[in-house]
Amino acid sequence: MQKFLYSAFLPSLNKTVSLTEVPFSSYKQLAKLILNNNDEYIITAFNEIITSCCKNSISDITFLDKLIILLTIRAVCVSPFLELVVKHPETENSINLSFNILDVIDKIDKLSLFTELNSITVTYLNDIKITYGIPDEFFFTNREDAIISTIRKIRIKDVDVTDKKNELIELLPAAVFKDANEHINKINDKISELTLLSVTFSSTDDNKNIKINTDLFSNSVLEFLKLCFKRDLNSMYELEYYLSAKLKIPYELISSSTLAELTIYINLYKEEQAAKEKAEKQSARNSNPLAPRTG
Amino acid sequence: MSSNISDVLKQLDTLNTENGFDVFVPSLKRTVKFKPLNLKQQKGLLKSSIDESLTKLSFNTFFFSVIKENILDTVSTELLYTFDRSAIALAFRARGLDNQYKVNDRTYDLTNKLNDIPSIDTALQPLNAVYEDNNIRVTVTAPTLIADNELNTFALNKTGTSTDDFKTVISELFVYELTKFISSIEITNGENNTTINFFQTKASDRVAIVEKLPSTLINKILEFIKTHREFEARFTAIEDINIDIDGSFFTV
Repeated sequence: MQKFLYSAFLPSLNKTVSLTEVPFSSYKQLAKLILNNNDEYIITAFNEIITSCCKNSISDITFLDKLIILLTIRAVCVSPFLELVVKHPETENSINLSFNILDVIDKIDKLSLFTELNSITVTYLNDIKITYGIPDEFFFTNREDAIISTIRKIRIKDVDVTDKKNELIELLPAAVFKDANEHINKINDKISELTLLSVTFSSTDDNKNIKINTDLFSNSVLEFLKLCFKRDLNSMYELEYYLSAKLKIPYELISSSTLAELTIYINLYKEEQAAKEKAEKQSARNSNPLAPRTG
Repeated sequence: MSSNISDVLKQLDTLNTENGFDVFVPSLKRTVKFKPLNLKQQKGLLKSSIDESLTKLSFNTFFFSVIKENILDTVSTELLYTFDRSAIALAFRARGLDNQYKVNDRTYDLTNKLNDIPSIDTALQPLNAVYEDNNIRVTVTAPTLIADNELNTFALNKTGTSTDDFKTVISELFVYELTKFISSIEITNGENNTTINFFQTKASDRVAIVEKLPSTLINKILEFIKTHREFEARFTAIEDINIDIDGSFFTV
């Protein structure tokens, strides 16, 4: 039987890819990693989710495509809404906010840099062709790595040697680094227009507002993804416990289902429990019509 | 299809050699071919500007290794002078990285300076002088790159491990600068003549001797150094500014 698939459009490849669901067992691991807050492991986990869920070849993918894939997964397997509770900076009251993740995907789609900055080839010393593009990672520990990540293809005397990038990089002409630096600055200028999350509390004091903009030289994209996938672990264990202990759902089914599906099961159980309680109360009233009404 | 890494490295080296560029070397009064800077070298130059504490010791030491590594013509780097370094650095920057040099919101075209360098007459600049004071005779010589590098390396080792205060380090650097320019010292004591050839004397001994020189001689040597440094500055003067050739010059 064909597994359930859904799709995401990747603007840099100009193609739609098919995605499988992220099972609860994998999501629980990711939630644990996010709670532990080790960026290196979290990035690896995000990359593994992308590779395991994507059914198509995505070798030339950019970090913005990765962002689209992860946000699509979040929207389908968890919920299309990112719900946050924030404190109002003036009143200190808690405010419940809801953001539609699909709106962010729309904004990424509309960026013009995919056609302008994702494949620019420059020739050096007559026979070295470097193709500059959008980086494939959304977080870099240092600026130099970010700059070098714009080098997407290296051809020497018409032979593709991109797979030897790490060994060759330092021996390439110094002008390559200068051009890569200029390229990443252009990309960063363009993506800085992309606001991932914004809450306006004050029209006069911007310090009171919340804004996460895309920036390759900071960890803003990674932090936004963490926010999207962050989950209270206790509630996940509780969910797992109720489903297996109370509803007797086989563990295999729990671990292979998505969080969205498990939430449906537990909501059905809650509704059933509520109906049961209501029926019991009704039945108690019927058998003893003089008993005081409660609830 | 991809080839193995050693083949690719050889190809890169061949391309670097085939695409070498001509640099006018003032002391030789002719052009010499150099390989363009690679990324590793540029990073080394940038790092030298971060390492730098008081002078351009790290930069000059690293740049000397770049000159030796990238020179393609059979020219002994021992024959080159410190003023040649400025001309070579300008060419590396203009030809290999960017010919536009921005400072204080103004942009200068380095190509104009490179075209101007051959017209600077090196013949008018004395490269040697002899100064005497009583029974001491000092021969000063404009430092070659190798002499400069030897003292720079010595100074780097000394100041790098030193816990001395700022004033002490400055005074040490002052002695190293004097030492760089001295090629020999002749001391007459009655009928005995002792000549110390600085090219054959180790740096620490040279420094120890210079520290004992009388101030009258030191002042004369300093005058020679001042004139020579002014002459060197002509190679980096562009319009109304003088380019500071250090690691940051290669940040583009």
